[in-house]
Amino acid sequence: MRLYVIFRYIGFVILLNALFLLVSSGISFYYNESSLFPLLYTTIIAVLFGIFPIIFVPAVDDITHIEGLLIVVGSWLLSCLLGMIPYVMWGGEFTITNAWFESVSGYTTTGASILTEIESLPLGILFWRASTHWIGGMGIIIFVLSVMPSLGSAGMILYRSEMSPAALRQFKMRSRDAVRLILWIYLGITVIETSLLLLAGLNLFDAITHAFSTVATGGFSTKNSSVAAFHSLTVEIIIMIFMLLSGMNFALLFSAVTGKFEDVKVSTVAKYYVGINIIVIFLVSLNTYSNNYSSYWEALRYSAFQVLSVGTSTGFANADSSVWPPFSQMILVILTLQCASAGSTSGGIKVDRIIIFIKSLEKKIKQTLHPNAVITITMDKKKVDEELVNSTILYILTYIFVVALSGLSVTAMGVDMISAYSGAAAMMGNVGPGLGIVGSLENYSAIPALGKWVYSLTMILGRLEIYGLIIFFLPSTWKRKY
Amino acid sequence: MKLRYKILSGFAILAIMLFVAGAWSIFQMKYFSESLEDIIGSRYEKIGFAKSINELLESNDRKALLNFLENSSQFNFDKYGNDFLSILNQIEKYKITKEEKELLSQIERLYKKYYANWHTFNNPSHTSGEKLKWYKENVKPLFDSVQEKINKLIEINQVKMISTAQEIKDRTRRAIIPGVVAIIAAIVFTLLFNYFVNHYMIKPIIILKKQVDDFISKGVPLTFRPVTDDEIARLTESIYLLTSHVDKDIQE
Repeated sequence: MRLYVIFRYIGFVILLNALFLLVSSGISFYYNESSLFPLLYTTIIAVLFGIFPIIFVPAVDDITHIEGLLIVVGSWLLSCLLGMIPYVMWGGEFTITNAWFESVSGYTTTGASILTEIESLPLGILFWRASTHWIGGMGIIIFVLSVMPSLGSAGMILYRSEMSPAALRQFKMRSRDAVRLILWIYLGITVIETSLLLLAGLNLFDAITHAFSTVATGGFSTKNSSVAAFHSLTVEIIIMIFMLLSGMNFALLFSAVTGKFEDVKVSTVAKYYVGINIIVIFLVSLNTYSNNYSSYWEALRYSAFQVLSVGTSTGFANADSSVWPPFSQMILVILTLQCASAGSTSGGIKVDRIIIFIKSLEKKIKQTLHPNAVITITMDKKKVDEELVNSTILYILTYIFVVALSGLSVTAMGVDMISAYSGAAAMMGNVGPGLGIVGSLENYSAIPALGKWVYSLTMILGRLEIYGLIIFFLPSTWKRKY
Repeated sequence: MKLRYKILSGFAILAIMLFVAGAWSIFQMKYFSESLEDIIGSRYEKIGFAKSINELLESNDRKALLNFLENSSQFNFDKYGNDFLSILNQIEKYKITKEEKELLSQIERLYKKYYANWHTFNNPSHTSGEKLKWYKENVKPLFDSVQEKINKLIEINQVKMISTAQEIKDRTRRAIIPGVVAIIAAIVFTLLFNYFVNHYMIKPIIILKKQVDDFISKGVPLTFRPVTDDEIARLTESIYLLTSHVDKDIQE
């Protein structure tokens, strides 16, 4: 393993963090805030650490698949460490545990917070919180669209399930130009959403921070009561549209941008993703209309927002879903497990895997009825190979096992079952809000310190698709010969 | 980049990290002394004086009322009334905020009015009950207002003391954490620096030396190719040139 190559590229990621830290410092300086030094000091540390490997290590043309994985996972973990420094230094509600939780929640685009008084935070810190989402979202795109498929071709078939067959067919994400274009799309969506939110009446700061959170499907807001604080249907509609877009495979968005609309039309995943959200919104709105809201439009407004927020793993809130009927709450829990499409910034098991799972179930039933029949699973008229199906089922089982283990650990610390398990599912799916004491308008401050560490690990496992983190810590990975 | 600059950059980075952390800790320490002075030297004493005038006001009022009801002249209200104002003036000598200044002037104004009202009674033939009624209507409301303002002054200083203490707590963290971060960063950085020095400086020299030894003893040609563009690369080029000359001499 060429450690120096890994250091060099992690250095670039640290420098990217430094850039956002500098902007946050600038905001703190402008408003003469107490967070100026914590942010500035972290900027200096980040610049020094980022630039040093670049001075020493000359550029290399080729990076192996495993090196790519180690760079991305290493960057993530180091960014989380770096990201907590301004919080710890600034103080307030940020103990070391809380700062780590908030930082991990930011970079993994979970959006779960330990803060009870978000609005009392300096603007510099709030901007930094939102930036961690945006940087994390960018990391996910590179990780999922560039690193993972290349690992698949290197024999690590488990990662192949990350890309829908349609997306795999459409483009070679290992191509540097394609990744660059995807990142431009990411930036473009952010700029467009910021502009629309500005037009809708938000100030520049709130518009940028909420756009950062939406595009990364994060969920950090600058307001205690999240998006509900704006009391604006227009703002909610804009955020809903962008949450839906950000939950789609960026490869499909790439196709749309490059004029290949046919790919979007034939995509089973896109159809399922949009279809399931429409059905769920309808069901939840009907259920809440009869129980919580006086008019159907009001029920539709809140249901649509909450469903899309949870269904895309964003985690914004415009209503308190913990007072909704059990049926609606259960639907939200199911969405927390499923989330949106692979190849997006969303977390969870992902729609792609759910489709493969449903199709394999269908195949099993048909096989039982017709033992001699040769039945193949297809997606977008392409055959899905058996290895991919097996790895998908294995992933889903491992995913549920991790959620169960994480929830069990937190219940052992005295947290009630609903809160602990919904929290674990929300952490694993990088959604943010759960139910009970960690509901949509609540936060994670009541979770014991050890529980926050368990949840932090769950967030990282969920974000790095479980295997990413395991492979990173396997000694044999680091002993591999270049 | 030259080796000298690479090594220098490593030490410079280490020095900058430690310097920034140290400088910041010193700056924060300066703030501590100011904050402690503010809490102990100013707030605490202001609260003390405010409590004193409150007690003085209550005891004087009690004594004055008793004397008033008994028609006694034993209590020299004028003397103790001036004591109140002189203590009040002492508070003004401390560093005070605009809000405190406003409160102090209100206390002084209300107290003078309260004091003056004691002297407006001009009907000594009144019964005790009538006198008490006069007191409740003319003096007591002003007494309550003065006391309310004094309590407000105490509350402002107590709240400020608590917030300054909290600020000190946060500042302590802000002074300590950069140091802790600098120590951890310095350790990690030293390891990283050591790795790079070993990989890009020591290791190439060892390989080069071994290959030169192999060339001398067995005539094995050099294969080492440096990846960096520094003095080691120049040295390798020179050794290649030297070995090719030696090879040529041997062949001739």
